[in-house]
Amino acid sequence: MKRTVIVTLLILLSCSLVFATGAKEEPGTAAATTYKEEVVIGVQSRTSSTNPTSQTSVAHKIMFNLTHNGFVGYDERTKEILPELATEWKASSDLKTWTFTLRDDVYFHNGEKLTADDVLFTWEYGKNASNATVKSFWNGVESVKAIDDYHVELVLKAANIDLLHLLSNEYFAILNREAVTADATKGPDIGTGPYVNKEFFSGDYTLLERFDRYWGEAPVTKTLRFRYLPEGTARLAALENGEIDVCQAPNNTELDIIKANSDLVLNTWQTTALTFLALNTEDPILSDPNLRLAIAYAIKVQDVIDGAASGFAGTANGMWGYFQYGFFDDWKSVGQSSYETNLATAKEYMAKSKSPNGATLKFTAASAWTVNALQIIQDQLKALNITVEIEQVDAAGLSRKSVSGDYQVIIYSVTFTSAGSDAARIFTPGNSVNYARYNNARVNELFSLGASETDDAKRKAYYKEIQTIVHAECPYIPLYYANSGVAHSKVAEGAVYNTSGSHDYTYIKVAK
Amino acid sequence: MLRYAIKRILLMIPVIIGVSFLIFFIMDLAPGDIVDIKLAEEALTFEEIEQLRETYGLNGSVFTRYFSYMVNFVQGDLGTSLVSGRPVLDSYLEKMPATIVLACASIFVSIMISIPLGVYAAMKRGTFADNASMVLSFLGLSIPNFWLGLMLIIVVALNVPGIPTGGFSKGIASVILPAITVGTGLTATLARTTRSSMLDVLSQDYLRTERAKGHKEIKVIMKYALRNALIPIITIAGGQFAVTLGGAVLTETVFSWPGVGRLIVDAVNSRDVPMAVGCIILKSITIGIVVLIVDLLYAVIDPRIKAQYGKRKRKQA
Repeated sequence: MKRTVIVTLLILLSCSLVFATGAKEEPGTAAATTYKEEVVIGVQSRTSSTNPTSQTSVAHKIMFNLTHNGFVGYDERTKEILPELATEWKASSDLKTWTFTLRDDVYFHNGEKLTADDVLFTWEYGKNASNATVKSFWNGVESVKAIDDYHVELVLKAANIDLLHLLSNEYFAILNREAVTADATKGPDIGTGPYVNKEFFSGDYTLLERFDRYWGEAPVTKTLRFRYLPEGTARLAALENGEIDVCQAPNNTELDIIKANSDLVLNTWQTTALTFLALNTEDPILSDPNLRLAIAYAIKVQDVIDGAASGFAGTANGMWGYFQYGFFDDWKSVGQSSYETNLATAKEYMAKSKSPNGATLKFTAASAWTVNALQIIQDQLKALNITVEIEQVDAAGLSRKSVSGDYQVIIYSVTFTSAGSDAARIFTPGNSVNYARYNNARVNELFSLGASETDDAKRKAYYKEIQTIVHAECPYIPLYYANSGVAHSKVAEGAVYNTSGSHDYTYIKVAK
Repeated sequence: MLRYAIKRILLMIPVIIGVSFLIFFIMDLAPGDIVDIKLAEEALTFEEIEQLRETYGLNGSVFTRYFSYMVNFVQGDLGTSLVSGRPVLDSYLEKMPATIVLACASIFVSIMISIPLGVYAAMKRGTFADNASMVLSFLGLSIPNFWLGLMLIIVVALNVPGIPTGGFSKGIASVILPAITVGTGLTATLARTTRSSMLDVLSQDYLRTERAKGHKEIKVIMKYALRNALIPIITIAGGQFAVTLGGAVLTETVFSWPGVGRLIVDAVNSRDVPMAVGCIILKSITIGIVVLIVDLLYAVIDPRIKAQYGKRKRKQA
């Protein structure tokens, strides 16, 4: 009897243990989501290099953000500078000498540890970079001094309050001396980012593999594959078919297909790319600000958006990025008005201009959709007796014209960065993107003052004055910010989609 | 025949010189250069623009640049891409496998459909079947590749499991839709050529003789008629194959097919002169070789042509 009781108790105990264990495990199993080892992203633009110092386009920046790091990063949502390889920084009072403290736990993909010497090498290498923007920036640095292994000092040739904003660009990533010295071609691919360049087949795909010694939080996804799918409909079909997990920049005309598909998620936003008309201020006819203002007030921007961007764009209210430091558009407070369509005002300016009876102007564009925009504007300007002749060239032809000054009006797009000083490139002489060939001594002076001003209020006042002057002289007519978006499978999460298009896929993961 | 082949290969030299000269000068005449393309992405000062032009060697005259390019070419150097910094030959060879696969697959699709269709149409001359097959071939000729590719993606790839929408990474499945897209246009031309060539042959007396001998109709058609009708068919098919080897740009774009067609178009659009000129020279050589092979095939198919080669050789001896 005693034996039977003991055996029964033992059986009961065993059963309870088994069930108890099972009961404990089950919720855990149900809660643990497993993720795909490879996430595939369908991209519209081709990448041509894996060297961060060679390319500055958004398509390249997305890759370099995954494979490389710079001193600092930038959060587009909070507009904050974030530490990356540098944990601390300090600027001298004249904003020329900047001291950075580097992390001491960072490894390059080749196993080398990051030290201040790598920063010194990046400066030496960058001064001869193939990309002019990168080359120009590093040549603007007078010297780089490695104070010790983890402290480095940059001395600039000219004061720059926006240095950190500039350095947050992926093309100013830190390279490894050993890697580049050993292999000048593939060495620059070696970075400190969360992913390693595994395979690169230009015009087809780029394969990145997780770097296990990454200094930050480890990504979940083992490999990221960026597939070049230039045709929008085919790219969306690949998403619907499950071949890709993320479809960048779906066609605006196909957004309803995405919305109707319960397996897909659509994110759209207004981009930071501003489309505008640049009026050549050196042209004998367009040097007259009254004529420029007459044109600005005669254009119905919403009609242009509807016709050229299928309605998927937001009106621009100034030649300064709406997300940019120092943006100002309260025109009434300074006795001005926005360039909203007002034919009566347009006619007033036309009457005051040197061409009161009308003019014939040539407008130049480089793509089909910008030609559509110009055709709408052509029709609108008939109200002022302005005859518009439209000329279409390709991208290289338009750039050539803008540099040579051989044009009257061109339609262009530019993407500003968040730094206020970035606007200097379209308003100050000597820059290739000063498409209006605008030159105002006070504006030039204000940009110079802004670059070395540490007082926030004063700097904003300088930028406000610039915008007020430019608005009154109208060398540019801002039109719109086009919308863009990303569609992805509903089980994809963790990516950060930025309005600049420079998305962060570091922590993307897709549930199986 | 060997002498003929060598002569044809030597004739490629003036072709290469002519093609490279034309491309070089046409690209020079086009507004803008690689620096202008960079300006669309980068803000540069006017001094930097001039420096960049100097770096890329764009400041000399077009004759100097062409001469310098050809000197390097003769030494086997096709130059380096101004965009990617990679040797042109490497980039071209990297894209060539995908192009060869697409060209072979599309010509296979084309031959498999067009020859039976053309032969059948010729045999049924004037009937509904003849008219229907010719309407079909007109249709194939009229449908734009770009549209057909997109329709195939939407209708087939989204509904048939295992057929990808594009790319070159899923083996045979990857090539099915691009091959049908390119092959449809080729099929139409080839079917019409086959029909007209067969009609010429079908009226010949020797076929009547073969039929009188009691051979089955299928044997008469396939062995005697079709073989004699093959020369124009091979000429057209060979030419089409050679052109496809040069790249099918629209199909490559729709199916994100990593072939040489897109490489060349991208190079022209970005004013990457070494890449564009180098690829077009390589394309000319490829086309020249394929056309030569087609010419030599004539001798294999038609004993009369083979005999002509032999006659010339004897005369020269």
